[in-house]
Amino acid sequence: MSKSEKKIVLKSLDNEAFEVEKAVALQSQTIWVMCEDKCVGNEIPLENVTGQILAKVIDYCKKHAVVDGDGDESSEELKNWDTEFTKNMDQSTLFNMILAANYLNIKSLLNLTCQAVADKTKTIDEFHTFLNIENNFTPEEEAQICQENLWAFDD
Amino acid sequence: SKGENPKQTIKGTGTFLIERRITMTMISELPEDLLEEILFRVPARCVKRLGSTCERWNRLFKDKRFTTKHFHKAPKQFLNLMLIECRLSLMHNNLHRFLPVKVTSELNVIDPHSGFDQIWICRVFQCDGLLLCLTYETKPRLVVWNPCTGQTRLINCNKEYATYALGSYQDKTSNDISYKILSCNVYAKKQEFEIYETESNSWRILGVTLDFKLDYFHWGVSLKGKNYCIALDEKERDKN
Repeated sequence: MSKSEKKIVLKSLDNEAFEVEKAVALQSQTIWVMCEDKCVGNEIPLENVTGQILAKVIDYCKKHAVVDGDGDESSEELKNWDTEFTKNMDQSTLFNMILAANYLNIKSLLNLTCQAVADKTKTIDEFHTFLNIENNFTPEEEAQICQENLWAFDD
Repeated sequence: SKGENPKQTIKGTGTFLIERRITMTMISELPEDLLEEILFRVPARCVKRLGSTCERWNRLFKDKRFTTKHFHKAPKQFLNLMLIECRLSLMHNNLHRFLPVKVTSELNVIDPHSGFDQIWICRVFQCDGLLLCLTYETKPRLVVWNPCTGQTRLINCNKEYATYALGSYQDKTSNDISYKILSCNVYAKKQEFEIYETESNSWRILGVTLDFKLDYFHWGVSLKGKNYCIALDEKERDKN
């Protein structure tokens, strides 16, 4: 395989191009299938992902490709890296990462980002805002559910 | 700003759609299956509380497909229970307090068949978060109870003076989890074991003779698929 064949170009929705190692990009099942089918050239257009998000996805894939290949980093270190990676992302970025991980079909990234949203949403009020929940039970219905599930309401 | 709907503030402007696509994504834009992926990872107490305010979520959180996945993915939480005067109570432990154990409220087993509001519980055995309760009203009966879903299953038994243990196993062909109950008439001279299978809904005698005797007072504990009991060595006792 020549040097150019080892590289692949990913193009974002806003036309930003990223040249990456094939091994990095192939962590995405979607890209893997595209390459297997030979339906694309060396440049892959990703119509659902912006450049800003794609850059982050590539960071993640680079980190994980290195570790899977060489095994020179412990899983502990990788876990810490993952935590740092999502730590400072705001909710909107995390949602975009979830959408991208789903579209690109990268299971471990989907796990990581969904867990990050679940962890960051701590209180019930935050969940209400976050899920756009409208309270549509009457106070009596709510009290009954609470009574039947005391274990969850008992602090 | 987070939580503010950009639709209301920049409604009608031509550039808005593209701008929003790049800069802001709201939860409402996530498809249902991805929203569920997040909710699978939210602890059970929080999920249950969310369900109490909205019919749609309450329905989803009761759905078996959802609960199975949630069971595997959500972080586990502890539930501390104590049997006090034939009732199960919730308790909170905090070793830094002057009184480290605080009993907060009673949990009621609702029995739809007996007409009693409350079931009196004599003994409890725990396995995989399920409680096997020996109850006594007019005759002894066993109730398998999931305190988190409120589901119960009544099982007839004829021995009041016996120990009972609940165990689970995975069916090799169907991969389903099934349960069995082991009983031992510990007060009788010759101890006999019986086993109840939830599939066949019946008791059968196990023809085994053991050279130890199970303790009367202790029902044993279940840990990682094995049951542990306190027993007396028959030969040692004869020597003494």
